[in-house]
Amino acid sequence: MNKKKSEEFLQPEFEGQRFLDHRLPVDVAADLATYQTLVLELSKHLYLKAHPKRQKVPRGFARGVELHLEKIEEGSAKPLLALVFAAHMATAQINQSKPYLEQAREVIAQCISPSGDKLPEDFPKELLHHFSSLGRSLREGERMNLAFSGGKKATLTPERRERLVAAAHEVFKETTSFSGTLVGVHFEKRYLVVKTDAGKQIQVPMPDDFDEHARQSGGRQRDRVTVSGLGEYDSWKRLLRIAEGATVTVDQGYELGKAFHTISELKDGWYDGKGVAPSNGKLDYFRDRMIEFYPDDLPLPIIFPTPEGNIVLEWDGLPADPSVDVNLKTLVAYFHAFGKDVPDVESEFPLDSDEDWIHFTKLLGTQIPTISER
Amino acid sequence: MKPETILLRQVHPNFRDKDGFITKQAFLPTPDDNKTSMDNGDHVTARESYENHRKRGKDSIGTWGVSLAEVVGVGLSAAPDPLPDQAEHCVIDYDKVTGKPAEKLAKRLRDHAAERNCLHDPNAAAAE
Repeated sequence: MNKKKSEEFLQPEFEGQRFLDHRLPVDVAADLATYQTLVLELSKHLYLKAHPKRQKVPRGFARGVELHLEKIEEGSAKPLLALVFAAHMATAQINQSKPYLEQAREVIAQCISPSGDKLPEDFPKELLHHFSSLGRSLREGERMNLAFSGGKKATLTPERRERLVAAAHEVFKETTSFSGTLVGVHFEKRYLVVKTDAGKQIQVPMPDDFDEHARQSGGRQRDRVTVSGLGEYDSWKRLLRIAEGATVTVDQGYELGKAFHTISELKDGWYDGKGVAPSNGKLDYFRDRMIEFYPDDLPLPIIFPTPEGNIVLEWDGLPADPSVDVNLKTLVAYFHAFGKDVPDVESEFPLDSDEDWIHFTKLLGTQIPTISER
Repeated sequence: MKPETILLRQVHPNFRDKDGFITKQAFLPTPDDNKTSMDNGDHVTARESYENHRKRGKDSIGTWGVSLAEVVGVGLSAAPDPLPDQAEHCVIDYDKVTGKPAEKLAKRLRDHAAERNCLHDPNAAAAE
């Protein structure tokens, strides 16, 4: 007959007047029961977070798992909690859930004693309500200590418990600044939606003089906006929105500009002692024209310096291997692409006037597949 | 050298973008002799080739390679060219091919090298 499997899980330490004679008041048992519920619920959350394609935890993930009060060690109010797996649970099932139960133990302790007053990313808002029960038995001056990794100790006091319950709804304001792309503009409601580099969309009040910028840069992935203002954060120190005082600046053609930046910093001798640095005046002219004329729907080229002080534009992953050799001194571009069963496409362009650039970018449009075609 | 011999090329950091794409320039010949310096992969590994190159005080972001058969396939030739401090040195000879035709051949060689991927990436090796 199978036996239950168990192992030591946690030994909370209770401190305070009532615990001095090394006994546990009965109402503490309710706290421990809540702790068990929290561990099980949090372990399921952590499993689903680690398996984003799953809707539910595997069948029987936490069924049959319990925390048992193993013993109260003599000389202190330190109940030893054991993690007990029901006899019917297969080893594979235990191995599946155990890492998440252990992670839950760690995250609960981190939540009680967060570093930098920021709640851990892994602890969801929906589970904070458990702190209205967990630690309810603690009276003024009493505390429950939970050991966690690195020899650290999380301390739950009545005050900390109240803070945690309130944290679900708390919002903190702090001056902030961040950059991203402008993905939404609401002219009537006067707000912008800026997507950060981390992919989060933040609502920003639209400054009075921003309408024209919003029309020009709204939806343009290659422009970059930088926002400063009073940000609202939740208890996880996650930026929720910009509440007021927003200033928004736009760097048009940021993506292209970034590509030219490294080249502009080259010094003579950059190529193993040889290598001429491109003339910055001509490079700036070419960059500005590219930002102005390069079609939005074409993939951006990769821009390389040449040892002669010129630049080459190439595109990754295109079968015809298109490239543009740009002579910065003469401002003449040479386009080349291999032809499939036909002669290669080759063309030279002066790049002095607006008409030249229109002509040049028109050819690029016929030779380079648009982003949506790729 | 056999047709399957890999000729190893050190690529300058400014000739590779952040996503690993290398420019055709990595395989262009030097103007003074119209040849591209390589190492014979039968004599040194991609890692040794990189390390020797760095010891000679030259910059590299990693080793790429093309086979002798691929060199011949694009219409070029390669030959041993041992140097006093680099016995494995060999060259791809562009002979009389210069200018735009040479650029096209360099593109073809780059494509072969890119298909084979980076043969020694010092940053990846350091992370292991």
